[in-house]
Amino acid sequence: MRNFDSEKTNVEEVDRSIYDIKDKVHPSFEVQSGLTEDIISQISEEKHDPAWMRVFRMKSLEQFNKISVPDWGPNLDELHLEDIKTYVRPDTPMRGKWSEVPKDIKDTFDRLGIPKAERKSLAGVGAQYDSEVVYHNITEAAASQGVIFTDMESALTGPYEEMVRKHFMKLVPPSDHKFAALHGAVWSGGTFVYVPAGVTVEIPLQSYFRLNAPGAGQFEHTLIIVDKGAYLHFIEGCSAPKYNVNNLHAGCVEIYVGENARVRYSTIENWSKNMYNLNTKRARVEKGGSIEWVSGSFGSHISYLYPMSILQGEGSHMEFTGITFAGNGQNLDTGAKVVHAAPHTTSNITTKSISRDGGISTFRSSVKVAPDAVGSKSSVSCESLMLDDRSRSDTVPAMDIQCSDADVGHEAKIGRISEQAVFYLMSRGLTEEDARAFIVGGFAEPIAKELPLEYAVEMNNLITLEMKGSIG
Amino acid sequence: MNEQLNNLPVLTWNHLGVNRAGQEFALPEVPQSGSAEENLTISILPSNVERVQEFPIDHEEMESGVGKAYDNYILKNSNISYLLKVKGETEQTIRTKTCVSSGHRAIAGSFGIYAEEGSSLVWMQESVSDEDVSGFSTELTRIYAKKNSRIRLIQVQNLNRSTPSWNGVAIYAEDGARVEVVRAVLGSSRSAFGTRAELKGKDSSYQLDSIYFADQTQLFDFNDVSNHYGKNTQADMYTAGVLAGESSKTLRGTIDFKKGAVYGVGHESEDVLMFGDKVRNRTVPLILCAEEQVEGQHAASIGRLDETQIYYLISRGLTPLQARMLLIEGRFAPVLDKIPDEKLREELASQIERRLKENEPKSNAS
Repeated sequence: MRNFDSEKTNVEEVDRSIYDIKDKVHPSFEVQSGLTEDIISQISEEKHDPAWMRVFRMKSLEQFNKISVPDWGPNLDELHLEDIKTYVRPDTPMRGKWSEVPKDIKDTFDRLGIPKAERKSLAGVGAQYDSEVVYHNITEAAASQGVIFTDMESALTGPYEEMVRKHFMKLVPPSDHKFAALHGAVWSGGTFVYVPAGVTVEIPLQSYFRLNAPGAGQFEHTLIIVDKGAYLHFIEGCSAPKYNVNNLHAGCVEIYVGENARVRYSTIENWSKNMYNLNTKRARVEKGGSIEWVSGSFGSHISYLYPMSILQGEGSHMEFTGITFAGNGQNLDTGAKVVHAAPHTTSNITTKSISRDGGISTFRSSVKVAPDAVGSKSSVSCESLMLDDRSRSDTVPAMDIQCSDADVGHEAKIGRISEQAVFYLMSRGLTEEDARAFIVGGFAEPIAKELPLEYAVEMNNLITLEMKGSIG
Repeated sequence: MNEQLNNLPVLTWNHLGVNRAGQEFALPEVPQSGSAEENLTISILPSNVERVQEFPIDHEEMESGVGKAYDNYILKNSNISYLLKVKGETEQTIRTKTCVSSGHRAIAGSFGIYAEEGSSLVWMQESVSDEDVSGFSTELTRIYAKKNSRIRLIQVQNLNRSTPSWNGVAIYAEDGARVEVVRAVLGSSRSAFGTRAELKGKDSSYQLDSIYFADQTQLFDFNDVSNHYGKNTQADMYTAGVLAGESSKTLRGTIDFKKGAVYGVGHESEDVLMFGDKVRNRTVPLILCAEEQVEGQHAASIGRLDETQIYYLISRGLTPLQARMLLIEGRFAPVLDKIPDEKLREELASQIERRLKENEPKSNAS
């Protein structure tokens, strides 16, 4: 059990100092703010894009200019796209060894625990610094199994170009929404993973994204292809220093789950609290395959995040486990989407959300069952906890069922910490503050246990930090 | 008219098509052919209920679930107006029936209950149509419930299949007032219903019991909202329905705890049974919350009847149809039991049974 005695609970704001470290900005190349055809071709030039990618970017830019900002969800009026420098390249070439990464960049990562995580035998680290991958490594064991774990740029120009071309933004077309179009036009960096048929990647692959320059957007693309019968656990973590200029993150994750394959995708998102996190994640699951999302949203100013699963093959399965913790100045709109497009598919969505200190959390979901998805089952359960009356917590689920031979269940609960439970814990010797922190920890526990150990610890620490000062 | 109706209080993805009622629910023009009051049948009023010409209160915040634009449409076009002021407790049930007939194919009914402090009233509204007449029916019922009054509104929509209908209910509850809406939606080619309760007073409460049965190409669209402002308010919204044939239904149910609604409780549930390959069900149950000390819950269950229950009933000697009928009657009972007229209740029950038989699934659940 945590030692509650040693922790003060009257801290006003969370100490983010370990996350909010800024390095001096000295980029080698920077495009001017705003988004024009010139900028897009500059990016293409600079990244030595193949011809098809140049065309793709231009087409996406067209879409971006055509599609309007969503009329639902948190307000995006303060997001001035013309002010966002879409591309900032850090002043360092690709490194294969940790020791060669520049010191200030390394220091920031050190504080975030990346090399430590690697020492704990993670299979590889692809740490993204601003828009470019600066450090990339994969253990020999995974590589010898034929697993490809590389940055998107290398994948695009290397031997896997054809595979990338076949899959790139096919699940999330740029026409999907405004920020998918933006992504298609200006994406840079990210990770490409291919796991061959039948290979089980024993240890999780991990990438850690960071944003550094003020006003810099981040548009990394993650493409994961897991072939028949293979297994992969991919971990994505985010943390960024705090700046006063609006920051935008419009990344994209595409996961192709092959027949009978299984993919687990875990995220702990802890962007600094001026970030607009408009991320799109989508998976397509073939026959008998399974996708598991574990998602924790703690940071950012505004989030729109709803990982989507398309259950395309018979008997495929999706599982979504999420937690959202909205504090002061945060408006986190999170949830999940699932489409049952084949018979006997199953989905299970479980989420918890906590709102405190003026934070707004919204759970949003969509469950669709197509007419021929006979025998499909879906269950959604969301629970929200309100820690004070200045905060807000909304639940906006939608179900569209077009098949009568399906079972769809949904339940949601909203409430507060039970006074009885607090009273009981206090009668057993805990202070009120500790009792409440204890109950919130218990509320989040089902999510924590889905995470790898070091992330569960990080999440618990975050909750403890966030809970400080929440009473009285 | 292109007014947006049955708007979802908080918008979501547009591609789901649930943010508002679809274009098929665009309001028709009401012909200016004078009063249609001959199409309204009314029961005798008890002495402490008075019919008034003007609704005694014009409250900005009163709005039906269908929306302000709709309310204004009715108030502008109404060809039937029946507004009641309730001064004391009444035992007797008030009954009204509007009928779409060849004489008046368009009904625009403005109804209202203004309940004085401590008064009570049960009002049953039936909406029907003559056979082979195709028209439309639009109705609005405003309920202003003063302190400690108790109102029960029972609505039965049993129109023919060539008559679309719209029905809005706007409720305002003061301290300790209780309003119940009991609703059975069975007929019409397409039908939009929307109730909205403003629980302003402390200890005020609202209950909605709703059933629907859609088959053939019927299209139903619901938007039920409970807004909690006062302390210690309570809302219970239960819906049960059957979708068969090529029918389609959208239900939006919202419980909204406004700031200050401490100790508010809101429960909402929907059970949907689906038969056939061409039905479509959309359910959007929202809970919005800006207050800490509240309890909100919603549950939805969509799909088939529980096969173990059917199996059990068959093993006790029932036919598969009887077993299904029994289970569906159980779901519909909270509404049917509250219909005060036994004859009408039996008529509705046998209509439901007949329609269940017609939509018998090809492969039997047994």
